[in-house]
Amino acid sequence: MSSRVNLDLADIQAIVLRGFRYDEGLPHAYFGFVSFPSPASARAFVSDLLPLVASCTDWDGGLGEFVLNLGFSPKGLETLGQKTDGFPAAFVNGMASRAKILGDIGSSAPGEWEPGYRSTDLCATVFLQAKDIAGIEAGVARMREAIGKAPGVEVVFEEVGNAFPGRHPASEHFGFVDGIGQPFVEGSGLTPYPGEGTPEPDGTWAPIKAGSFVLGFTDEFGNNNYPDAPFKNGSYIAFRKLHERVAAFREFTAQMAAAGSGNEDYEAARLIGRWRSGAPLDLANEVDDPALAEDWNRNNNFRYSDDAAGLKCPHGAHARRGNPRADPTGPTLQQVREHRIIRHSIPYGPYLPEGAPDDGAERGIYFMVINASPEHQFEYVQQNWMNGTLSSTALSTEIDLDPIVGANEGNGKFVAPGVEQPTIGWGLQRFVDVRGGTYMFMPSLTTLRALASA
Amino acid sequence: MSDSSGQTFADRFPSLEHFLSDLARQHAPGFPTGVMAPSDPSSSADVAPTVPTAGFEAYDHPKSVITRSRIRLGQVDALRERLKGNVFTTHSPGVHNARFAILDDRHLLFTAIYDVTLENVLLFLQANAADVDEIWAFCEDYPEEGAKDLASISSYLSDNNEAVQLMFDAYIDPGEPQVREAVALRRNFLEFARAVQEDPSQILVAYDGFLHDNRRRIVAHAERHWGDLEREYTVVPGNKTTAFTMMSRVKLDPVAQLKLRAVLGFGNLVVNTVRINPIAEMVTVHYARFGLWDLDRLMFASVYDGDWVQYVEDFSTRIPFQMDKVWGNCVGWPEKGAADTKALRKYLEDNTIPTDVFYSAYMDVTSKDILASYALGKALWDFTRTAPTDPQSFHSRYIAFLSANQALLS
Repeated sequence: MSSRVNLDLADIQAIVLRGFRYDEGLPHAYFGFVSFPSPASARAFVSDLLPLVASCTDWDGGLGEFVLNLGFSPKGLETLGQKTDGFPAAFVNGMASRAKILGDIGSSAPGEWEPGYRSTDLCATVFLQAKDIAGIEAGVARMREAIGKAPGVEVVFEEVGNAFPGRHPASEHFGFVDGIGQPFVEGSGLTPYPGEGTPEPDGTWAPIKAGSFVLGFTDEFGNNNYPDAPFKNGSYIAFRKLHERVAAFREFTAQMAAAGSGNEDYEAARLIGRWRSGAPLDLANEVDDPALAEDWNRNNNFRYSDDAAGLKCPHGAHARRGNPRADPTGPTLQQVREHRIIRHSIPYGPYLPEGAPDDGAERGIYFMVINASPEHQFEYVQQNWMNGTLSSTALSTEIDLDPIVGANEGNGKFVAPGVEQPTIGWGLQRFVDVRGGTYMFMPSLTTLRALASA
Repeated sequence: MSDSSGQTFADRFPSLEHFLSDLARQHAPGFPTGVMAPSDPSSSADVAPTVPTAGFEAYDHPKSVITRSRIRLGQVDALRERLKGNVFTTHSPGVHNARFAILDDRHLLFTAIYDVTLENVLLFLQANAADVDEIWAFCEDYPEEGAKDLASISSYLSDNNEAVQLMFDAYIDPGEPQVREAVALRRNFLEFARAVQEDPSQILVAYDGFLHDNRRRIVAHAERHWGDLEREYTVVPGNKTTAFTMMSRVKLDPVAQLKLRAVLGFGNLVVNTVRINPIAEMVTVHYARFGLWDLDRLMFASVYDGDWVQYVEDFSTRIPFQMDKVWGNCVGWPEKGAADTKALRKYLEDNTIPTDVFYSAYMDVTSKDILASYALGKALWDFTRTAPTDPQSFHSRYIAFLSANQALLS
C-alpha cells in the first residue's frame, strides 16, 4: 500500500525520489558530463532532451527503455541564463572547494582527482539508468542525437556503472547489499516501511519532511527556504566516484578476525553495522539472517536504543554513524532527523573474487546523495559523523573515524566492543578513495522548461 | 607481589620499581596529603585495590579570570591589526587557555582558565610578556613595568577584573598538565595494546617499556601534582577547539534583569554544591562562562570542539530550556526560544564578538578525548599497582582491564 501523495511527482525528476531502495534500483547506469559552448547550444540541447526527462510519475507508470535525468552545475545554469545567487555556497563553489569539510585529503584530494572532475567546463550531467545495456546504449544514442542538434556541446567525460552479473543486484565490491537504510519521504507516494523515518517514543516512525529532499517544501527545521522557481520541486545531487580498496578491506577484516571472533564475515559486518546480506547487527548480532535482510518490514526496524555499550553493533560502524537512529549515545533525535540523506549507488569495475590477490584494478561505486541542502545534510554527515566522532558520545578517540569512508591515513583504528574483550583493528587505512565528485542541481520539469526556452 | 621464583615484577622490570618508589615518595614531606598508600608488597596480587580512588576527587577545579580594559581613543584598528601577529607563543603550566577579543564598546576582553592559583596566569603572561605588553599598551593605564613584573601585572588584572557569575567546566578533575599528559598516556597505552595484540608472549616486556615512558604520567593522575612533569612543552597546533565569545544586551526591564541575576546565581549554586552540570549534555564544550556587566550586558565565553553548526544544534536540541532561562531575558532572543535552531543560530551569529586571539594548551584534543583519557589514566593507576607478575596471570588481568575499560578506547 502506498502512502498519500502530496508532492507534485510529475514535476520532480525520477532520480530524486525513485529507485534508491535496493530492490528498485536499475542495474545499469551511464553518466555523461557535458559542456555548453553558448547559451543557444545549451538551450537547444536541453530542449531536445526535455521530452525524455523522467519524472517520479513516469517512473511509477512503468519504465521505458531508459530513465533519463538532467543535472546542472553552476556554470551550466549561468549559461542557460539562470543566475546562481541564492544557491547554496557548496553548490556554487563546487565540491573540490569543500575538500577540507569532506575529508577529501591525501589520496582523495581534488588535486588527485581524475581530470574530468577537475575540468572547469562541466555544465550538465546526463543521468541514464536502464534495466539492460541495450537501454543504456539507446539512451546514449539519444543524448548524442541531442548533441548533434546543439553545435559545440561536448561530452567532457563519461562514466558507466553496472551491477555485478551473478550477484545480488545491489551488491558493491566489499560484498555488501547497499541501499537498504533510506529515509521515508513524506508525501512521496512510496510504501513506508518501519525504520525508514525518525523513531518516535511510541514505537512508530515519523516520515522525513519532504523539504529535506525536495525544495519548496517544509524541511525538518520547519522552514521552507525555497518556495518558488527556479528551486521549487528541485533538489541537489552530490555525485562521487569512490574507488574501493577491496584487498585492503579484506586484509583488515582478516586481521580483526584473527584477533577476535575468527569470523571474517562477522568482522566485516561489524565495520558496516549490517551483514553482507543487509541484515542489521542490531537485530541479528550473532549470525547472519538473509531472510531478515529481505523483509522490508523488519530490515530497518531497529533503533540501537538498548545497545549503549555497542555490543550488538559497534558505535563506530558505518551505518550507525550515518544514521544513529535512537542511539542513546548518539546525537539528539532532532539532529538525526535533520541530517538524513537518500543514497544511490552503482558499481563500476570488475568484482574481485573472494580469495583472489589484489589485481590493482580500478573498481568502486558511483555514489549519489540526494538532499535539499548539501551543506546541511551530506557535508554535515561527512564532516561530523564520518570524519569526526560527534555521531556518538561513546567515541572519543580522534583517530577512530568511519572505517569505510573516513579519511583514515593508515593510523586509524576500529574498536568493536565485546563481552569478553574488545576486538581492535589497528592500522586502519582508507578503504575508499575519492576519484572525483561534483554537486549538481536537479531542477523540476517546470524549471527545465523555463531554462530551455529562456 | 612475587611469583613462584620469588622474584617480584619490580626485580625483573625496573620501570615498575620506579613506579613503586614514586608511590613511597608520595608520603615524603612536601607532597599533598590524602593520596593513596603504596600497596603492601606482601599482599596477594589478585586482591582488588584496597585503597579507593579518594585521592582523585574534590580537585580544586579550574578557575577563570576575565578582564576588560579600555582601549585608547583611536587605537582600535591598530590593536586589531596587532592581534593578528604573535601573541601567546610560550606555554606555561597551569593555564588551560586564554583569549583576547575586542568588544564593540572600545574595550579589550582578556580571559583565561587556570589551575589553583592566579599566579599561574601571571607566570603565563610573564612568559609572553613581550607580546602581551605590546597589546595592552593599546589600552589605558597599562603599567610601564609590563608583564615582566608580576606585581604590576597582578594589580593590572585586579584593576580591570570583571565578575564571572557562572562557570561550567566539562572535566572538573584534571589540571592543565594532567589534561595533556592524560591524552599522551592514552595514546601510548593504545600503542602498547597494539604491540600486545601482535605478540602476546612479550606482554611483560612491552608493559615494562610502556611504564618506562609513562610512569610519571600514571603517577600524576593520583598526585594531582605536576612538579615532576616536564615544564618544557611545545603547544601542538590544532584545529579541533574554538573559542566563542558573545555579548548580549539584557532587556531594559528590571524584572528581566533580576530574573537573569537569579538564574545565574541559582546556576552557580547548583554547579558548585549539587554538582549538576547542564553542559555535561554538551559533549563538545570544554568551558563556558557568563558575566553580567553594566546591568544590561551579558558576556558569554566558551571553548568548544568541532563544527559551529554542530555546536549550535547541540545547544538547540539538548539544552534549549536552560538557554531560554538565561537569554530569554535578552533583546532579540528567538520568539520560539532556543529550540528554533535556525533563529538561534542567527541570534548567536548576530551577537558574536569575533575572538581575535585564542590560545589553548591542548588545541588538538576534544573534550571527550580528555574525559576518556583521564578516566583511563585513573584505571591504569589501579591496574599497575595490583597487576600480577607472571606472564599468564598478567595477561588475563590485562584482558579483564581491556574489557572493563573498552568504552575508553574508541
